Amino acid sequence: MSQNRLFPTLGAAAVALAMAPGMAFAAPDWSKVPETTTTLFYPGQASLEWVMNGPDHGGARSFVKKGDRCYECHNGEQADMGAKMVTGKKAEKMVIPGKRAAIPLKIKAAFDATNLYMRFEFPAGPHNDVPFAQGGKMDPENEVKLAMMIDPGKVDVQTRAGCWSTCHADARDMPSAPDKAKLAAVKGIDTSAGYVTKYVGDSRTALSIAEEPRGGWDKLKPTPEVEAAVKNGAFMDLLRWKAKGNVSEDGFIAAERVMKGGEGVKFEGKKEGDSWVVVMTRKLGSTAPGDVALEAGKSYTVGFAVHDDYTAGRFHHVSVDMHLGLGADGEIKAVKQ
Amino acid sequence: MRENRSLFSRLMTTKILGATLVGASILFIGGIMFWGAFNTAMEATNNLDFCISCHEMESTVYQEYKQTIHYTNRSGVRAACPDCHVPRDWVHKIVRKIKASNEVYHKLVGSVNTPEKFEAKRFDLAKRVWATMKDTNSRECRNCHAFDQMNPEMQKPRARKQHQNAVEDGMTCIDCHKGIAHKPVHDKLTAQEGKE
Repeated sequence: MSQNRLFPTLGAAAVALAMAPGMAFAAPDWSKVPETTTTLFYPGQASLEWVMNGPDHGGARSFVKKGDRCYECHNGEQADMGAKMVTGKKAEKMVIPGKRAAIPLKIKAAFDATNLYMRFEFPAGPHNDVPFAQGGKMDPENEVKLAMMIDPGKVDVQTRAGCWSTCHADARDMPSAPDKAKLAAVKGIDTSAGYVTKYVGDSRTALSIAEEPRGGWDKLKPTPEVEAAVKNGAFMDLLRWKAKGNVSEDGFIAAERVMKGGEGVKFEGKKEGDSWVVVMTRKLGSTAPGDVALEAGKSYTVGFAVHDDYTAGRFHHVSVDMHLGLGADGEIKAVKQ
Repeated sequence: MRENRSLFSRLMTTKILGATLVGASILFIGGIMFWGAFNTAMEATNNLDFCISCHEMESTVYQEYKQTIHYTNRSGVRAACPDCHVPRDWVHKIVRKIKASNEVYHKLVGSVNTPEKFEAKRFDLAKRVWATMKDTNSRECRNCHAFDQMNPEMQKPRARKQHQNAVEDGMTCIDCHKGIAHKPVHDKLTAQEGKE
């Protein structure tokens, strides 16, 4: 039974509530909105298990025992980390020659009584053939994709690790990815694509941090327990834009990644000169499972990812956890319109 | 003259700790010479050139060390092999030197007399070094480094945060800084070993 079927109303909700292309919203005057720049970096195969395992990661103790955020140690050195992984010096066995180590991402955010508005800008990069993809492109249809995760703020690991709370050692192209022949043995998640997707730890009975096989894809909790965990914030809201056709997807990650079901997000993106510019409008409030209902005056842990150069899966560039404050503290301050 | 002879005679018959003055003088000067020779020999075996005179060291750990900040850096201060691996104070230095004779023994009997044999034992040897540094509260690191002499404002965020955590929890340098001067093999540690 797939995660879709865990929430039988989601399909109908998606059809009924997804933002129509013509949905009215008042875009802010971006010239008056302050800009934050962060650095997206190539993360290689550094999963949550890698992050939490001392022999892999010198900061494991700070994260596991001291309760530090990734951001506290790693903000400012993302490009250096990306260079190590993109060249295969660390945590990467499938090197793409020539790939960028890091991408600067300019972020602006604003909100009004109805919506959160965000504007993203990042430089386009050169093409480098992916040696292990047919034709050198993993996703030939989409030159770039941009994604954002929002954490509900109730599960400790998620608040401090951001996107890493969903990235595990047994996902697609990761070191402990299970054999395809074993995938069907686990009921309750959709593995028909031939791999395990992202998931949050609270959807599993256990995660193996150090012992192989690492992760916990096959330790799925019974459906009622997963649903209860989701109600307690064990999920990450996932919003994504695809370049081809300006496709907007509003999904979430709990027991697995589901790319639909939210109450709606609308992206508009295009290449302007040497940069990609993507603008997002997302309703603040939502009652759909898998959606974070945003409130003015609060801060949320968020993370961003860009798939550049026709890549897919884990071959993206990502941010460390950041705080988005809606009129509140945060590395990204959304200003009230 | 009689007084001089008497003085000479008295000096010749004076005993220091049971030895005549002449005997004591010979022992004193001989002791200085022995001590000087002993220390000279000890210092001759306490420098980088001696340490890499065996090719299993020269072609492995030395080449790795040359790529690190302890070999070359902005300010030109170098920490050579003994700075990290031999205690500075005399008592601990002698103990270390005696233990080092075991390394000579294993060189001679062929346990570790080639780079290949060294590589085969590298992880176990590294674990011994880490255990010693842990036992001594990273004594040799602290010849140069000290938490209370660090300026957090001049450190990168990662280092600043990690050092703050280390001070709070009474940690020592080697808890985190394994493999900083040689090929890192601490990823082979089990999670439990990594915590120890």
